[in-house]
Amino acid sequence: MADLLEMRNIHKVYPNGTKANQGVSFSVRQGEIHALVGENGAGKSTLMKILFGLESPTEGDIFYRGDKVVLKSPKDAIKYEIGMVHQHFMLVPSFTVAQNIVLGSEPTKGVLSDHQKAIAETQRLIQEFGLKVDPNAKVENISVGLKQRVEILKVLYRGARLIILDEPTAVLTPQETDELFQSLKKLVSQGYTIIFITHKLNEVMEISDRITVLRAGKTISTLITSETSKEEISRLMVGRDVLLRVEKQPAKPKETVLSLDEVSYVSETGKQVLNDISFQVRAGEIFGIAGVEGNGQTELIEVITGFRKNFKGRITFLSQDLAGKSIEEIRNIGIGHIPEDRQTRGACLTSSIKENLILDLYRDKSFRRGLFLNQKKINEHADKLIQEFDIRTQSRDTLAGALSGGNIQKIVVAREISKNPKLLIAAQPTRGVDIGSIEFIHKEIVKKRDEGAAVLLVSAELSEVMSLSDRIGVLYNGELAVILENSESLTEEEIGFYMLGVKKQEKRASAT
Amino acid sequence: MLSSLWEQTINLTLFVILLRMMPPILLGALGGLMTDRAGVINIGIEGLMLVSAFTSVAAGSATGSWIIGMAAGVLAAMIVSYAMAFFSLKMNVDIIVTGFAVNIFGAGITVLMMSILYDSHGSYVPENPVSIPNVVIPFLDQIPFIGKLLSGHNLMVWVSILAVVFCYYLLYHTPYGTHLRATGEEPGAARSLGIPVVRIQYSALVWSGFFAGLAGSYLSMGMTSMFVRDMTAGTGFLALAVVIFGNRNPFGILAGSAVFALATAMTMIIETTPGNVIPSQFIKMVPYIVTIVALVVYAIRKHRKTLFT
Repeated sequence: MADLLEMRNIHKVYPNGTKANQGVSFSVRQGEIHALVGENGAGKSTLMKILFGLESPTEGDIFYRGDKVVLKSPKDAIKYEIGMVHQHFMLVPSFTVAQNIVLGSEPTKGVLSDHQKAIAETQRLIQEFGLKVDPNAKVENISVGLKQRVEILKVLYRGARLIILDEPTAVLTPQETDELFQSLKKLVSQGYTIIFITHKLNEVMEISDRITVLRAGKTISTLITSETSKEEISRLMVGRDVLLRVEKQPAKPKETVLSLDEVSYVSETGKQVLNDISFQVRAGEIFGIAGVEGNGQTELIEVITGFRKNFKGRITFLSQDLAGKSIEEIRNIGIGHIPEDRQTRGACLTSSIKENLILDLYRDKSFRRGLFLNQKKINEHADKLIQEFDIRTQSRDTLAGALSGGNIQKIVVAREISKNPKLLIAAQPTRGVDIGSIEFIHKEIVKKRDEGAAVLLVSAELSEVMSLSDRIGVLYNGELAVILENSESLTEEEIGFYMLGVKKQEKRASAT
Repeated sequence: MLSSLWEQTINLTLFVILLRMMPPILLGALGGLMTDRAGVINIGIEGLMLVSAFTSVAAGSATGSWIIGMAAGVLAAMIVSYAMAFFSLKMNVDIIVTGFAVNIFGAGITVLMMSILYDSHGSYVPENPVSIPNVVIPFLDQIPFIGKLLSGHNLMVWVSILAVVFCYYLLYHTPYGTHLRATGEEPGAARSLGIPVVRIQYSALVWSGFFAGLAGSYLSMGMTSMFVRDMTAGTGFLALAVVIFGNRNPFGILAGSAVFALATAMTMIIETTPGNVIPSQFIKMVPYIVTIVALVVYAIRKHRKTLFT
């Protein structure tokens, strides 16, 4: 089969000297789903930005249907029928679905926009591709899965035949992912070509025809999916053998550490975000919370860690009532917190690594000398943790913001775990972190459990919750829909039903 | 006193004064609206109005033509707003800081020019004043009530009302307006679709110069026939409050401007009523009290909306 598109020997050096691509070659055939995999910083995004005309390569050529092309802007890419669905949705919330789809190339009647024609065009696309969505619905009111359909329709409206999807499943439930995959297969059967960027190997195996692996800005290999395995791909991605499953012994839970009794919370906009939530987390176990993002996870964590006051019900930590305690007091009684957003809450990006490692300890006597900070002690502390937690950096004085996401997260994990908390709250601990670091962070969390700490894990990655947790609670619409014992027989689909609110366990029976 | 107010409402005096007071607020607010919807809110409306008010009266009286005066005023305001766009969009100065600078610039340059050209520091009254004409509709003005209702208003009253319709169509029924709103709401999304975000923000700021320019020339050649230092007296800021109060859409802004103009009109009528016992300081507070009440009502309404949806 002839190549639809070929990128040959692409180099990209950013003005600050970062070499994002160093000789990447990559080709896509008409009518295939081609997965592009690699760790964060492997150069996937840069390569796709070059293909979509958002960046220009320092060196190298792009061939489309055998002809050399130069892509200077997204407009050029659209001209060659290349479309991109971005990881972060590029939609205008207050506009309707139809308005979003035609935005930038609206049908007109004289100087005025032709709203009727925009809706008709949208209807036609929806029918043609079976991507059901209401053209008159406002985008701010539709679900994440539907928003993604709108993004795909947008690309199709512009006449794209080659569609780039950047981590499209990151925000979807298992069911929504299935629907997306069906749509993609249908598109391919109609002659469309798809480039699928991801780091989830299960999905790669399920959907793709061929796989190109990038590592450190270079093409490592292009594989045929049916002839390879997850183990092989991950080895190529990381450059060494990786444990895909988390190795852990069965939990030996002891006394209850954290207990929530009928906790409810009404947000400042008056929405009931948490409704009558009860569960316990015991020493020596990992309690995982699954759920589609925005179903109360953030608020649940913030209520426990003291960011939000005025909740109803009772939260107790080792027989102490947490109500009315300040964030500092809560941290000091033995609760460690890895926040879901490391950029704003986890770390201070404009401070150095060593400063980040003592963010909550600077008042501690051992880091002080009279009124001043004891730099010697702080440096020793930093060097010890950098070593222990494998933070890849030139020096302890490097600014946190200069590190990769995975390394910033390691700083946060190091700070929280090294305090020896009796309860560790880990919210999205591996979001946007590369596979190598994920493995490391998972190991540390399990280690903490085995040392007798209670762990409350919240993650939007269902596979993460399932591989780490001993028990799993599912949040749906602010309610704890179910609490399940994690076992081999528990499937993603089963949890998915609770995540979507299709199934719900009887209330009182759920409290263990 | 109340009976006198009632009488003036019945014989439409209140309505006529209301229409007289409305154009500067309304036009200023439309200028603010264009920038607000494009994500580059211009808080320098006040300064632009001052620049235009002075330029209009100076150019108008020098040439003897109100059209040239108005054109000069509008042009001056558009040039200053284009400079704002240059500094904020090209040189990356914060848009709020830029707006603030324009307000200070407007207040300063007008007084400076007044003292250079006319050797005066407080006000300039041209010897041969020109003004934007009133529109007297033949025959209709003979009919009682309807004549007073529709005829004899200043041209700028009609221009400002037409500007509302114009802005509505521009924002909601042209691709340009859709792009402008998309730019203000999700610049990233707009950019990804090839919409020239920066160029649109440039144009929005120049629109604000255009509308603030019209408002300014009405101040010095319509409502009055002179320039007084700081004669805008907060109208530009009031206009920004109206943008919020009017729910960021043209017709809401028309209603909002009418409310504020009504407050000012009532103030004037009460003040000039014989036998008025209320101290003038209190009466002068009315527009500001209305501002506070209006914003409180708006906030409550918005809060309810988020509460029950």
